[in-house]
Amino acid sequence: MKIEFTLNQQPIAVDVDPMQTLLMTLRQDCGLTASKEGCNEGECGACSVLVNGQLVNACLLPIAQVSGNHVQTLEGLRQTEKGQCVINALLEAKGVQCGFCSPGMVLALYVLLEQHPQPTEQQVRTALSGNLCRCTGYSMIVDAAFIAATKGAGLW
Amino acid sequence: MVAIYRPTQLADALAVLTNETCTVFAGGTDLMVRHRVRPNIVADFSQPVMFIDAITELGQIQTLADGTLRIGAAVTLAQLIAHPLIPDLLKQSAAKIAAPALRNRATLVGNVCNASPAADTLPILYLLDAKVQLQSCQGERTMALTQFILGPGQTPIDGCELLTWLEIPPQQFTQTFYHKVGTRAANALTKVSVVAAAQVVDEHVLDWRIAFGAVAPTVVRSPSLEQLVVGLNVSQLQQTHFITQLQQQYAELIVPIDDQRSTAKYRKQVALNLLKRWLLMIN
Amino acid sequence: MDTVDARFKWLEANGEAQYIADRHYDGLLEGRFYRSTCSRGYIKAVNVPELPDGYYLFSAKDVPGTNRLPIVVPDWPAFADTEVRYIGQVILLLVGPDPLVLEQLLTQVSVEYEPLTPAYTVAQSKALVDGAIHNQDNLFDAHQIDKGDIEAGFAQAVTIFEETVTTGYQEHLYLETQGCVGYVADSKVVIEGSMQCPWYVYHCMSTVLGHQHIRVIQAPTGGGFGGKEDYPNIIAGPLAVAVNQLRQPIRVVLERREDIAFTSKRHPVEFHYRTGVDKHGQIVAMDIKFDLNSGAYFSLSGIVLQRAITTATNVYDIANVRIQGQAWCTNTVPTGAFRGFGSPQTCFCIESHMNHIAQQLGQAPLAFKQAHLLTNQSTTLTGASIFGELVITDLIEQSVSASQYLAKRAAYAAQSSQGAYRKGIGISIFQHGCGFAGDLEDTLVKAKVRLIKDQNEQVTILVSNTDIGQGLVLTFRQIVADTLALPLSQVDISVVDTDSVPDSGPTVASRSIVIVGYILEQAALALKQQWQVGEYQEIEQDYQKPSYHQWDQINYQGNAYQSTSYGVNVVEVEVDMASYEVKINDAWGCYDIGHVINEQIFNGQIDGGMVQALGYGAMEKLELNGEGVFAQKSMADYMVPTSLDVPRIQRSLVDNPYPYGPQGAKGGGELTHNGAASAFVAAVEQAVGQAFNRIPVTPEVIAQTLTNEPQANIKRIDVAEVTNEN
Repeated sequence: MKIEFTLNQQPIAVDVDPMQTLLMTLRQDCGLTASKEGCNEGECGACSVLVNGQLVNACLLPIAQVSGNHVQTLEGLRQTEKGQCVINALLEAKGVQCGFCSPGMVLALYVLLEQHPQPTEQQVRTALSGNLCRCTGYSMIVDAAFIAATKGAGLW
Repeated sequence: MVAIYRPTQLADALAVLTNETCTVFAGGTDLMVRHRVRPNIVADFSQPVMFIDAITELGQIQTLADGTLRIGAAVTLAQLIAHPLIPDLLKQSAAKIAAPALRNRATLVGNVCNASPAADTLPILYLLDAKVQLQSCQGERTMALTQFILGPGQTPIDGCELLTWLEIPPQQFTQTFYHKVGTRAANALTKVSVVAAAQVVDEHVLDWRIAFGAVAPTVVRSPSLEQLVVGLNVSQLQQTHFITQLQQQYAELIVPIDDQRSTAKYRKQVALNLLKRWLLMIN
Repeated sequence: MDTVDARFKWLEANGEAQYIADRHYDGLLEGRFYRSTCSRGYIKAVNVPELPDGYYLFSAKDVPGTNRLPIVVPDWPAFADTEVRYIGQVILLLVGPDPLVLEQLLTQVSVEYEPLTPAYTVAQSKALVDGAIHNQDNLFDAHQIDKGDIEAGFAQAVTIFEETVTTGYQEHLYLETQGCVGYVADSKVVIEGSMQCPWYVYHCMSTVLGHQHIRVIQAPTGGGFGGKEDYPNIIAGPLAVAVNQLRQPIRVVLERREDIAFTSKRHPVEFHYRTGVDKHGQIVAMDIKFDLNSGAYFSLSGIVLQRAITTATNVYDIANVRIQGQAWCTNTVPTGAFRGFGSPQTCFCIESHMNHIAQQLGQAPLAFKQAHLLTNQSTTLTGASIFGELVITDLIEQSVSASQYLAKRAAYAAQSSQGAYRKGIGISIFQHGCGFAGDLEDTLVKAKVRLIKDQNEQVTILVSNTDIGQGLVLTFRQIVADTLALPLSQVDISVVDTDSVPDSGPTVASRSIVIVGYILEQAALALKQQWQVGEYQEIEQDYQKPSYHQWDQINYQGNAYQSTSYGVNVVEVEVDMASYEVKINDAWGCYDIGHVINEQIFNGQIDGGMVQALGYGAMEKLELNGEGVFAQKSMADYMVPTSLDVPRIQRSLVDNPYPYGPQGAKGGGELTHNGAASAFVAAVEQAVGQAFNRIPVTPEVIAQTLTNEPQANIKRIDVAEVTNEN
């Protein structure tokens, strides 16, 4: 079935099973592998992407529901000033260890800062609560939010 | 490949359901797991899928003239949490479900239709005397949520019907209580939950309610036991022997199970402890 | 010193790092394992469906070399052949283009077993029902250490305490599941994948294939924590057989549920202590017996056992000790390496036992521990003198001061027993031996590193140690750059590829910095001395054992490890006395890892290690059900901490340079997992006023202890007549 949507600002059409997930579509049909497959049940957040600006688990979203919507992945976000601001903050905070959760973390941090340009620690931790990280113990990722808020002042 | 429908109009959805048995799919966060989405393999849906997320009408939250709140079947948990009309207790329970990304897709009505014993929003909806509206091409019917939830995963919904609206009658409480005991602080499934509300005027209990989740096949709420409390003075319901007696009465209704997340004994003990905490909080 | 490196982890943060499942290979086939559904039995027949064109099946019959993977000892078959020993053991590998077809074909395979009575627990293993699984007695390995005179020690005791303390399984839950891709290039069978130890995979492949036309390349690895030490061999063995025959690229990436169910886990242990205390309140004898559940194959259990035995008395100087440790074969998933490798278990058990003795004696746990600490004059459990300066007392002082432990401990002791929420604070003291056990670095590993300098003065590091998140590539580059006084940008590190890197040993045992980093520093010093501008130069450097290091591997005597790092953790909690939920309000970690090379990188290890350990102590429940498989099957069942479950870790270091480590550094990656579970439980014990002798201490366990089923307590035996004699 042909499904049309916007992927990282570009219109795109894919011809796939409508129940196929957005994650499988991105990784297999679009060649975009920044979004990771960690659990396939919405628990780990490694597959996080934005649909119409909202953070979603791409592993649970059938492509049929993406039809007509705007999808943004890290491949798109990293080309924006805000995206680079978050990525640089994450690197500066040393919030990347094995890196497998990092793409999802960048998107979660981005959405947080869009909603709360000056977040509290509790807001940051809540925003990251669906993105599991087994390496960092989270604090350095939390730090990244504050670095991005400060260094990106005016962006958010 | 299964057939799919993704109408934007309610009438179109109902028309399809008249002729075909479909899996109704709102946020699908539970359905996709249940139908085993797995690496590079499409989830096993065996019957046509009716997506209702694009039906604009059902994405609304409305207040009726009599103050009843109506929540459409496509309203996500995130929408609910952000909406000014939603009672705080309901927001609290919605905010304790999973994590932000999941709440952006998962719906309140989906949580209701799963009819899971551990569903997070059911206890509060029981407490608020919620009703559900079922619509089909033949008409509509409204029933109490307590009649809609028959057992784990069981509802009386007919194949041609859609649960379109959830209704919450207006009510006044002076105090509320909510405690979800999850498997961890966030992104957690419920081991046991307790939600309660009361209206107390001049130390006189005009209304008192409590509902327990994940401790029985369906939510435990007992109007007859609640009537034992209503009409008392606060000092009376806080007497030790009264608390113990009420705990014993609720203990008969609380029949949890052992599973990989918790134990029956723990669930029961905590449910009764929280009942006590709630009684002692009332003022 | 130039430590800012914009490139470090840049690919990962930008989503450009190509993990194994992200890589494209032309003509890639998928591989799926058919796994045993029987815990223990003989394979009578394997019935397979007719395969469609393009689908292939591989079994033990297809192994051209030896069907045994040489993980320490060659006992684990690549494919089960005559017998199965656990549910999930690989019997077949099915290969083809469509994962859905593979899945359907797998459902059509059936295996007929002649079942035997399985043993899941150590007790069942010892019972030998239906005979032994392994050898005649199910005992994989056993060792004993005797220090002093245990009988003479107990003769001085006025009180004897007996206690059993146990720990549960722990799942690594690295965010990236296990996976490898195999293909043929330049007539070599190549395996790329998520792994810690490419040379281990190389040796397994060469055993299974019977040739050495082999190459192993590490892909970016989404977490390991020990879990990707042995298990990549289990994937690569069968995969290499298939690739060797088909000559086509094949990918095996485990699903999350498969990974949780069937990959290696942390060993559950059961420690039995018998401890004698004299009339001054001093421990005079400790008789320790413990059992490890090793699962179905030996794998790394011998080395885990050695670590658990040689560190059984932790940081304490006990005059008379007997330790007997045994590793048992059971019909469960083989247990393997997990950050700490036996030490988190040992540390939790001994720290808890010390706390409980102190309580029994009416002493403060910290003071009681302080009265038994190792000093510079001590002889270690294995009979060696202490090398270097011990700074344990500084670690304690710093931790106590930062956390205000003593004041809080007193305040919480005085809180109302009727409060709805109760607070507690706990402390743990611990150590970790760095590098391979004993002198195996010298006798077994023999690490080698290489540095290449090109004509443009660019230096490349070639080692087989992998960055699995711990930041090794930056720390290694920093060691070399600092030694050569070059900017970091002038030092690169090679991808770990067995075609180009020497075998500098596996990425395990907190050895990468202290052992390999030191050899790199030596190599860099040599290069500096020989540096010729504009010339291509290669420097190779081998490991050399420091002269002080002596070890007897038969009798476990000497320096149990080349060096030892130390730490102190303090954890503060609040318990909801209605729901028994525990909120971790604060946590402190203070460490002696010699001299830290990159503090920010090590801070990441502190945070990550302590949070894993808090999970281990508080919520990471993984239990066998009656069928010998784990009841917790998914990420929704097995709980690891989220960002809202843990506080910010308050970190600090005590500088104590080690002369045989790079820039004075010792190891630290595993150390950070050793102490927090014990400090957590000690805090909960203070809050609720009950003792616990197992982890995890879940709300269910607290509820059970506080209501009507107190756990088996420490047993106290007063030896009155001994007092009279004294």
